[in-house]
Amino acid sequence: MNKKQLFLFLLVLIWSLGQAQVSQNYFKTIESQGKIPKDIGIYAKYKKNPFLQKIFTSGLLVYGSEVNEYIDKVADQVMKDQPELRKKMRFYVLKSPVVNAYAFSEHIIIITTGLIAQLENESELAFIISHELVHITNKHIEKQQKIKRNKNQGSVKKDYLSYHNRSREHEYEADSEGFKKFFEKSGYSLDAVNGVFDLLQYSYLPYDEIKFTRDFVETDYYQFPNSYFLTNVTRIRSREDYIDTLSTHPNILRRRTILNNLVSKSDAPSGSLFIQTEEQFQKIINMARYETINTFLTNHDYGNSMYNSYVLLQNDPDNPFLNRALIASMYGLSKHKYELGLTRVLGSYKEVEGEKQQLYYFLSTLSRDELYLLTLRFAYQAWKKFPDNPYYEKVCVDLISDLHKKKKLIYTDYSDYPMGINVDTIQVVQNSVDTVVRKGRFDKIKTQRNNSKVIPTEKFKVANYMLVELRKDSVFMDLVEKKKDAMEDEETLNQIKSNEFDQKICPSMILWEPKTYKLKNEYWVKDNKGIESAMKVSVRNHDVDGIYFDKVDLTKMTTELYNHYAKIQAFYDEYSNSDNLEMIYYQSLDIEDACTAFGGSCINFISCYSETEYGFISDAFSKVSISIMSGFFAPTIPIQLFIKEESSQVNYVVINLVTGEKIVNEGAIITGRNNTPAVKNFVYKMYYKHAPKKGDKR
Amino acid sequence: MKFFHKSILFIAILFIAGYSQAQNLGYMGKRFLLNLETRVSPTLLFPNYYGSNYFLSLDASISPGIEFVVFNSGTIGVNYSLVKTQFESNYWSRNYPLEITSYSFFYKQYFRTKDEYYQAPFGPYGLVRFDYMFLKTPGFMGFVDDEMWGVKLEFGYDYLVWDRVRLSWGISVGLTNKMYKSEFFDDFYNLTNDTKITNRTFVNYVYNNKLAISILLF
Repeated sequence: MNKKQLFLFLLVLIWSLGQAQVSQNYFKTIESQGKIPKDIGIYAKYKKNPFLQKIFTSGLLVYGSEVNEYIDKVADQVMKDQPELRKKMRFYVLKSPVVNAYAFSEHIIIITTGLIAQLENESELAFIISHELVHITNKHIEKQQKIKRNKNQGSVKKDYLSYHNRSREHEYEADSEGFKKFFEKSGYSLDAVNGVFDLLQYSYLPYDEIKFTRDFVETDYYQFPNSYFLTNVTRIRSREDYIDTLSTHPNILRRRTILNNLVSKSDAPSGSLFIQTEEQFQKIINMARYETINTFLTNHDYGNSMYNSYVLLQNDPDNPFLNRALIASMYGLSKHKYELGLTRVLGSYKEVEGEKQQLYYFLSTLSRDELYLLTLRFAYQAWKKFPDNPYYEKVCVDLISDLHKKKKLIYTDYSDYPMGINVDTIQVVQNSVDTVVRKGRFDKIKTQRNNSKVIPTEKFKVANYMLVELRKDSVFMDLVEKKKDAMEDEETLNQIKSNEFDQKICPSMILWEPKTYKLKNEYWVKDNKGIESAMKVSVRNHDVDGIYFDKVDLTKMTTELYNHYAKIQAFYDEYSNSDNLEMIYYQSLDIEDACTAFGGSCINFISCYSETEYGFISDAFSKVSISIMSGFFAPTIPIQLFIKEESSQVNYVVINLVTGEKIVNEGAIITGRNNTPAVKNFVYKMYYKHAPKKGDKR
Repeated sequence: MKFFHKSILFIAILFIAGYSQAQNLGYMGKRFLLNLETRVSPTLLFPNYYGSNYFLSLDASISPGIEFVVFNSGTIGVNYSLVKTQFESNYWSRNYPLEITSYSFFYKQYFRTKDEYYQAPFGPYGLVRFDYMFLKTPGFMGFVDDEMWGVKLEFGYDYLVWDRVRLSWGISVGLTNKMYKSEFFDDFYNLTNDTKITNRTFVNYVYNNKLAISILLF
């Protein structure tokens, strides 16, 4: 190679490394690439496999991305001696924090980002693929389905045990045959099998065990009480030798023992942990980890998203994605803590092991105001660090608005001096009396405002010291003042605002598939209340300017449109998890392209949750007696008695995708024995009142 | 027949007048129904179509009609019905056939409309009906005709299923203008055939049980 070629090569190498760096730092989400696979067309449309249909239409499935390519290369290596099988197999990635891989008899294997995020090396992935391949080649899935269908074992208990016993046998088979048929000959390191079982055993834990320290949340100006922190955290206890009778998978110790035996007897060369480069592996792992954090945020699982962001930030403190994820987690926690409590988004610290427990304990101990102020501090500092990212400003403004609404930003409630300061040592600056220049009343007011500092009193607690250095920042103080003024204007405007739907705010809508569920044996199951048909009729009759997105249309999509669909589906998933909380949705970030692609800046959701109960007469004897007595005179009284009364909670929501503002949020509780028409009427009226109309020049 | 034409005209006027509210009335904008009713009434020891006058013998009829939603909670409609039954004539104490042809006009008020989304044409209702009846029976000199009218009150429930089909049930009580004349208290009073006919019609009219199916057209 001559000098010129070497120079060019180095230039390209440096450029590509730079690109890799940039693409990691500006991570948003893993997007599908290339041609849309035929599988989407087959499984999205037809109910050949309901589980696959659900996955393919969820928006969580990824194809053609860098992660997919990596998995494909590992699969190529694993099946290098079986090209026919390799041709049939298709691999996809699923955006899910669950650590799992799924094999389907349709020669499809789906691997979750949660699993990829936990991998330590390439060989572990190869073993997992080998294991899943055996489920397909040995037809385990069909055999399990046959067991499910043949429920003639004599009792429910026998059926249950039979199913689980066979499932465990299949797992042993998949482990040992996966090792012999595929993994042993693949060239990967045989010792990696132990790593796979470690991964399974500790899959519920975060990406690293890093102490959550006080320094992260305290400054020189304020310190939290010691009671806010645990002295010791619960050790990680995960057992591998548990009783597995009621489990579909054998216990990990047994599996490990069997595989270690096979490894020790194997004649195959020891192999290498990586066949592709380690850098590439690390890049893929990072992408999967970031994506898993994305999923935690979408699911409002803020405890996990915050701790994992904190862990990854230790090695990469300037990573824009991780910083944003941290702020989003804290923001979500603050909003939930104030309105609904933390149970759903954080869980009890007593059920957590390891260093993560410290964070959980701290967050649950903080008061609502302290958490709010802490989040505000972090968001403001992030904004200063990343001024180009509008998300931080939005969060700051939202938090400040909330604090103003709750009257928690009164100027004199916050100290200008650090915690622990001896008040007697503070020199109060007297406003000097200028005898030369006569100051008018308004000048005096302005001077007084600029010079006043708040001295802490005995009643001041930690929260009162949390804005000390921010109060010295004029940008921050301007923001607080401006928001206060704006809120007073908003209050006035709200009083004169009419309830009419404003088409200027929402010129066109994306109509999302309605969600209808009914309570059955304490579980919410899908219901068919015909709301979708009511929606379509309403849109047609009222000439609504909206696009109804039918999942069947996935089959006609381009990859670009599919990615936009995935984005909007993620927005909907977050909305479903938000318990109707007013907040900036994490998934409203970077959604503008999806809005343009679907031709709507707002999205319309309809949900219906129904519960049934019998009417005033519930026992069969009374019903039969009344039926006989009513008989001739009112022959349908028996029908009335036996039809259950149903109560449906219906909601119609229109959300501005970009701002996350709820433009319309109407609901009704509709009860009755035949309440389906009333529910549909509700939908019809909502579109009449609250939907943009075509050709309407309002 | 003039009365019937006037009824249709009245309904047409209401239809046109109410058209401006089309979008928000009715069920998802649909306001027009085709009805088919089955009415059953006990004969109360009078003979029915088959001449049976046991305790549980019944008169039955099938009655087509149309109905139209005019208010959030109200509908109007017209019906036609033909009842064939028998009455006990004075002539050799025999039963003679009787045909009752009625044309009715009704107003139906739905009750549950304070629940905003329950509105016409489904839910519990009360109905006021005006019937004009033409009675016909064979006599010595040909057919004997008579006319009478009646007013009914009905209560029932309309179930809407599959967005297009409505199943109804109701019970009604009514009175006719010629009422029921009894010979019970007067040993010397013999009911004329005409009276027997009107009595028989009254008995058919006074209490009805109804089951109906309707199609919500547009």
